Amino acid sequence: MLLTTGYTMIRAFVSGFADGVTKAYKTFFSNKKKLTILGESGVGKTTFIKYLKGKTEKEALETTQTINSEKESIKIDKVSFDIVDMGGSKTNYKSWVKQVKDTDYLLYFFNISSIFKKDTDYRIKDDMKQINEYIYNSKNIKKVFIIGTHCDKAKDCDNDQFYQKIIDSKIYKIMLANLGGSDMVCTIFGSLNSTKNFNKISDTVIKVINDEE
Amino acid sequence: MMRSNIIFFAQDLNNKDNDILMQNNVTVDNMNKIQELMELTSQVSLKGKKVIDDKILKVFIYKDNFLIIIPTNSKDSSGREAPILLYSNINDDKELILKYLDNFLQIIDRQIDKKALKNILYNVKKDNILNIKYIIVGVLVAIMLYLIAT
Repeated sequence: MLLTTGYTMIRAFVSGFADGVTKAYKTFFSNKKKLTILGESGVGKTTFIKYLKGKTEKEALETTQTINSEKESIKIDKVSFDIVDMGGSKTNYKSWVKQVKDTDYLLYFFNISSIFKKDTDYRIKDDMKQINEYIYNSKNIKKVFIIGTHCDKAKDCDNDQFYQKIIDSKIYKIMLANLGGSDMVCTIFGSLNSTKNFNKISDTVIKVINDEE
Repeated sequence: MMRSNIIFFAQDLNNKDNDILMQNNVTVDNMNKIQELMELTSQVSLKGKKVIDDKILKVFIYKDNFLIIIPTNSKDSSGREAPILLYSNINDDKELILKYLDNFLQIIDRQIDKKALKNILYNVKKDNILNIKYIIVGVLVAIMLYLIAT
């Protein structure tokens, strides 16, 4: 019994020490940047990552409910990223907070075609409540991206006034304020229904990140 | 004897707030508790090793725990595949896991390939990344002792 307890304690100590060494290595020797993607289910988080990984349009659009969190290592230009794809359900809120605390870049996705619906409005407000405090207290976050997806499904998506209406909306202003304000936030509207449209979004994201780095 | 911690989770097919989580065959209703348990399962997929990645089916192992994303016959309202999640300890009784799974599937009214899952359950092995960590730590300690001694 004593031997077992002693062994368990030594094992826990060594395991903890090993985790510490790994963390220290990542902090001091690894130049990987961490990018976290948040947003409710079905807004395009996983599709975006699939495109980033170089998947074809067909592969990228064949998605599955992401029910918890996953990490992918991707190199874009000269920068290596650990990209965290978070489950969109509210049941993942505790994991969201944990990831926001030590991310370098945050991408918040929402569905532009349903932005004026009550459900989306409530959900975005709930999301903001969860992460706002951690964004303002974070010493790591360099930039936050608000990415409105599904423009192809929105009425009047070819009309500039439509986007101005979104920029002027209360819900957008809530997002902007909660995600760090206009100096911190970069807003992009677009679609992920084709590689061409994905490129329009990702080119802007990569350019902004390259400027920061 | 170690207490089991067998968790099953399924996201609502309408992607609203009717997700179902069962811990040790008991449905958990408290949102705070569900979020804590989901964070526990995320540790395995974020820190662990992905040992199987077959489109929807994924198996992650972290220390003594494993996480399986299991394909089902259902799709969500957006037409996406709707898998379920199983989190457990490598030492947990496999037959107990399968028994709890039956109850969970009845509640959520979805079907899975049980034969394939059973095969995975009985073959899932402890992550040996930890053993590599032990070796690294051992070498570091040996270097430190050497430096102290000289």
